[in-house]
Amino acid sequence: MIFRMAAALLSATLLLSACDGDSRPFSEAVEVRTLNLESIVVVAPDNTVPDIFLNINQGLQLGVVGIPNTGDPILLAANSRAWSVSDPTIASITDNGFLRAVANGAVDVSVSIGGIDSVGFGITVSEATLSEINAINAISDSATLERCLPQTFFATGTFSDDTNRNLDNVTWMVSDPTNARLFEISGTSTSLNALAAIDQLTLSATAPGGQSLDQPLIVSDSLQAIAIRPLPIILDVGEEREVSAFGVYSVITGETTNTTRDVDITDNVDWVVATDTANLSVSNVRGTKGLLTGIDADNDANLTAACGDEVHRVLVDINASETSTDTTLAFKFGNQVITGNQITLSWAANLASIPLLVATGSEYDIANDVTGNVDFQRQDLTSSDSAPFLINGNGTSTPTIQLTAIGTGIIVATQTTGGDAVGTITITVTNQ
Amino acid sequence: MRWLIACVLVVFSSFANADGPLYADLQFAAAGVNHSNLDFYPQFASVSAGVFLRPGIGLEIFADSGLVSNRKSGFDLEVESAYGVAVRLQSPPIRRVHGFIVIGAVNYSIKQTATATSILGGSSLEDDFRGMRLSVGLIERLERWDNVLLSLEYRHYNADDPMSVDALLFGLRVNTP
Repeated sequence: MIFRMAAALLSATLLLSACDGDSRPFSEAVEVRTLNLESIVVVAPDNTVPDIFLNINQGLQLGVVGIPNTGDPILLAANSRAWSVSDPTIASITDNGFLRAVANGAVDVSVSIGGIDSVGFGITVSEATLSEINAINAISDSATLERCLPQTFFATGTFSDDTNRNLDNVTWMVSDPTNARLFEISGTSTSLNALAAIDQLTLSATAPGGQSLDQPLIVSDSLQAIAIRPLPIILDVGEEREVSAFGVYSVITGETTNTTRDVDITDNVDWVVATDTANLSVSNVRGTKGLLTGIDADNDANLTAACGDEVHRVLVDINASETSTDTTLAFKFGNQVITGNQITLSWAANLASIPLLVATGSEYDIANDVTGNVDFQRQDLTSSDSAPFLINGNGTSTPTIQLTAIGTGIIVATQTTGGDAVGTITITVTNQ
Repeated sequence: MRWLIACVLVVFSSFANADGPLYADLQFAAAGVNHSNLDFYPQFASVSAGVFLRPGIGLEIFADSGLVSNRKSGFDLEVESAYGVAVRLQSPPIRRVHGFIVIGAVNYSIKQTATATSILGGSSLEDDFRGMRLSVGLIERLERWDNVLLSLEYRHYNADDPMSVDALLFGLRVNTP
């Protein structure tokens, strides 16, 4: 009997194990204080027309921007917030800020973060049908496409109630798919990369009802050359290394070409191992483009980065790993082993100092830890009054970094004793 | 604080008069509360009183009261109060030492205040959480007083993610003879 009672009590306890309570206000209070927020504003997606009209059952992802005491507005995470609508019979909204239209009428959307309430953001639900597609717009204001500098486009239409709305079920086509590429395609928008297109392209948007619009686009011939960096590329078998491709673009003022500018186009070019493909591989998948892996030291390999007919070819020197010595340093931040040479850190999520560890080799291994024998230097990439992070304890076995501002900086780590390995990592500090 | 003293008096007076398998604990807790990558270390006192229904199986009630808040990055956080009911599963003694596990339900309150700065005003937040309590620990019977035991306990209160509430407790238990 007693055992049965104990079992029943345990079962009841386990049923109660799901916690009831909301810790969100506690963390939001810290977020508000850390970012010095004075007010918050509900925002629509970047490419949304100013007055928003939705059909019944149509959805819209809203965002929230914080206005700090000083400095630029900060885009905050929309997830797990206290979103609300003025009239739930007109529209519903999730904790992640996704609004769903329910019935015709006007509604105000607001959000509360850490005790700060936004002003209402007006949305009208009005069931209407598309009359015509009236525009294809680029998110950037540039009217000209440059090769390997993709632009994102969205379409708007006029509806039966004379409202102008974003379209969310569009089919996209480009006139010269051999020399131009559509990617990141959705019913709302598409990105267009003009690879080898010359002079002009036509981007077409077609709605499910058959309405369509052709948008002629001018393609500039400003791409002068492609450069793979950094060089030389010396790789061990089994080692991974990220390399970048930069486009050299002419800057035209008036009728004369004055100067050039370099733009990182790593994700927009086509990467190919041109010779000795058994010795080297390269990723051509967006997001990891330019990631090299040494496979075999049998021979060196040629690597190319191409944008249409513009190609840069470089030789990659591949060494057998068993005979090579480590010349690179790999990083570990806190518990996170870093692969690659860049990392994005959330300032709000990393208020405390983060332990910084380095080891020789391509990936941090405690067996190769040389943290105490490394000199760390910071280089800031963004112009700001405040450095994005500080390096504390340089020269000790327990260095840390302290995030201090939104921005991007580089840590250059140089082994001072026991070797001459060097490592760099780019750190982007965000408010997300 | 007054109710805490009252509880202690009730617990110890009941012990003094009781002749059954009753027990009572008075403990000091160093807690760790984490959220937003901030670690707060407030302190609280905990009292519990229970009865062994069978050898090694006890049913108890417990209550906590905040003693000291902890300040981090301009915020003061305190485990203000807690109360609940739990089942205690205790091992037979080995060299006067028992191991135990306590599983129960807890309702607790956390208070966080932010001091005003030149830019932002102060704020105060207090919220109740309800969830599971899980404890593991050891108690050692004293040689001089057979009914008095020293206890060391790790205690975890379920909290709404991403907050976590844990505590290390040290205290005294008294058992009826």
